[in-house]
Amino acid sequence: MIELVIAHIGEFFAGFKITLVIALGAMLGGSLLGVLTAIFRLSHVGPLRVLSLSYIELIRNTPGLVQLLLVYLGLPEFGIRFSPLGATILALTINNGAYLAEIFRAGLQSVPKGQLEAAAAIGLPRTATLIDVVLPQALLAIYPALTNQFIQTVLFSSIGALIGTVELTQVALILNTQTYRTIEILAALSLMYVGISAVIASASHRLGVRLERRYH
Amino acid sequence: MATSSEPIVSAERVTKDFGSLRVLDSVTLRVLRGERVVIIGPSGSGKSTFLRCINGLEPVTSGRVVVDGLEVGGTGVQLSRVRSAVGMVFQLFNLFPHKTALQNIMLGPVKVLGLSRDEAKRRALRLLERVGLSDKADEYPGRLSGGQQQRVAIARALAMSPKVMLFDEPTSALDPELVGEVLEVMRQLASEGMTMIVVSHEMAFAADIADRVIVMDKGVIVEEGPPQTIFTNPQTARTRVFLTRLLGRSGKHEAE
Amino acid sequence: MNWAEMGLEIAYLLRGTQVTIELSLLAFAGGGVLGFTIALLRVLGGSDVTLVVKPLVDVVRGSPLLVQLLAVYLGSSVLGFSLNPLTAAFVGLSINAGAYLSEIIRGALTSVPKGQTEAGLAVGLSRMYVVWGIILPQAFPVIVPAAMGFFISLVKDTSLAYVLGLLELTRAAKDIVDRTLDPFHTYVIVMLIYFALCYPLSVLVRVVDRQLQHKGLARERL
Repeated sequence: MIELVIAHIGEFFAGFKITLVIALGAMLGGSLLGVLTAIFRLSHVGPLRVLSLSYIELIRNTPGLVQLLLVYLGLPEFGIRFSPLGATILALTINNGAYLAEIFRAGLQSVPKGQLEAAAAIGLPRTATLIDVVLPQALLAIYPALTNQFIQTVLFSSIGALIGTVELTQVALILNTQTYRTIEILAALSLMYVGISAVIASASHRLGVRLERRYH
Repeated sequence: MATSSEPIVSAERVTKDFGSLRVLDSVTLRVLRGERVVIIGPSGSGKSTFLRCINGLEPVTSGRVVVDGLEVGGTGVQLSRVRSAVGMVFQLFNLFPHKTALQNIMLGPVKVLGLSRDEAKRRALRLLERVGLSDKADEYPGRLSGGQQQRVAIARALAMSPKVMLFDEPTSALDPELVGEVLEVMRQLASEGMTMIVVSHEMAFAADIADRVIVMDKGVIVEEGPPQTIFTNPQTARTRVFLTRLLGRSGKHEAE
Repeated sequence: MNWAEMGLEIAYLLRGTQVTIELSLLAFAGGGVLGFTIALLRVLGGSDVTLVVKPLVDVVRGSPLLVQLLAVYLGSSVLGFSLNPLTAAFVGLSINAGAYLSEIIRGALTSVPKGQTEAGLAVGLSRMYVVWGIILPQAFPVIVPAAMGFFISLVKDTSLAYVLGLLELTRAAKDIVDRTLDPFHTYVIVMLIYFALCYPLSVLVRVVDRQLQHKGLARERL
């Protein structure tokens, strides 16, 4: 198996890069979308709340694959065409946005009420309270969930292979049709994903420990 | 201990409902400048809620609160001015965990009073020295004991140069051996002439520094008077019952 | 498209939905048994057991479900015994579910305060009984909402069996699109069917969660 991987290391690495592009794109895009959605979700304006809730529930209760097919195969009916890569990033962004919105919301609501009261008691205006008091604590609270979401996104990016995106899984599948060394290829592929997840988790953990140590 | 005749805090017929539950029933209290008022009473009597009505953390259902000539309530700007004039110390300290002791104290002066960071820092260091924690300026709250956290919280409230200091059961969440250091800071504050309204169970402390003791029960003021009267010769049955229960449990006669 | 054709398509969709539901239930049952066994092994067994089992669980949780399904389907035929798409999907989803559920169960078991175990052992009960009769009943209220949440994920994950050619809901959609050339409406309808399956369950999970929080048995999960 190892010599197989080494022989095709270039292709695997190219696929890995695409996987990363998809995952990072979906996390960044999804974060923007998620922040906006979370704000709407907690807003006093009824229609905004309904809109954001509908979006969150619709995405979280339907398969990502169907969302992807809708973007890639359904939108062309309206003249909106995406490349496989573009469609994958877009679909995963929309998918991530819903999950991240809930993570952000939970983070915001996890900040103890006493913090808001202390800020109010010294007369801190709303914006300063949000930026200086609430957000830092909320971000610290959701840090593990964010890491997990990132890892899940990396794993989920594999569905891009089903519409032809040449990310890591697709590279392996192509290789399979060329060499038919299925067991080795799939084993190597699994281990690659496991390795990527482990590296992300470990790096995140160390960063998290450093952050924790500052405050405790 | 100079007092003027115009009350600095005036609560007129304050009523507070939480849904169908009436927590405060037409409570009237006037506090003069420089006066030290301690509010005691059983849990659920509304004393904490009343305190929080004074700086607008709880909006009143009916009635009126005026602090230093400003009505509590109204617009955000007015409320902010009221809160700059009123300092509050919470039972659970509520320090900002992601900021050092120094940063906790500096935040209000910089963001609300508009001080420069240097001025704010100097003020904060002076206050830390005043509460005896100069060496903890760069520590995060997580590394401080409960008593130390509360003293930082007091410094944070003082940083706004308030005219009135509110204390909501400041020592109730502390281990017994840490209570003394906080009461000491409060005593110091009292001797410097700060107007203080304190909700507390510390009877000896109340007897020590209070000009007036207010007894609350079920949302009304049951009795009020100088500590000597309240503690040794309470006029109403409810006060007597409450004190007996409180003193009896602690096993010693506190207010002598 | 006339009514007869539409009727056929609807029947086709219903068939796909049926397979989706059946596969979800079967895989959840299979994964439940597997996950429960793994969790017990890891809690009761010593460090030797953990040494073997943990890496396996980590590999399954650290790699995409799609890859696992392909591994079971393609791998089995390479090894000589051919699995039909349904069986392959069942095996792949069960293994995946087993790994995730084992973590849910194990996490719930270890979240019960150590004092409970110590009290049970101090009375003289065997480790086996302590886990079965004392720890597990207390872990149960924590497991239920998390497991229900996972079941919802599982229903959505069955869509990946599409790649094995299994006629579940998403494959049904693809076939209909091939026939009617109307991808947008078809996928929207399929999304709504999945939504109709999953949303009620999501609401139920939230209700259960709130009830448990009310009784002080669970905290908010992110």
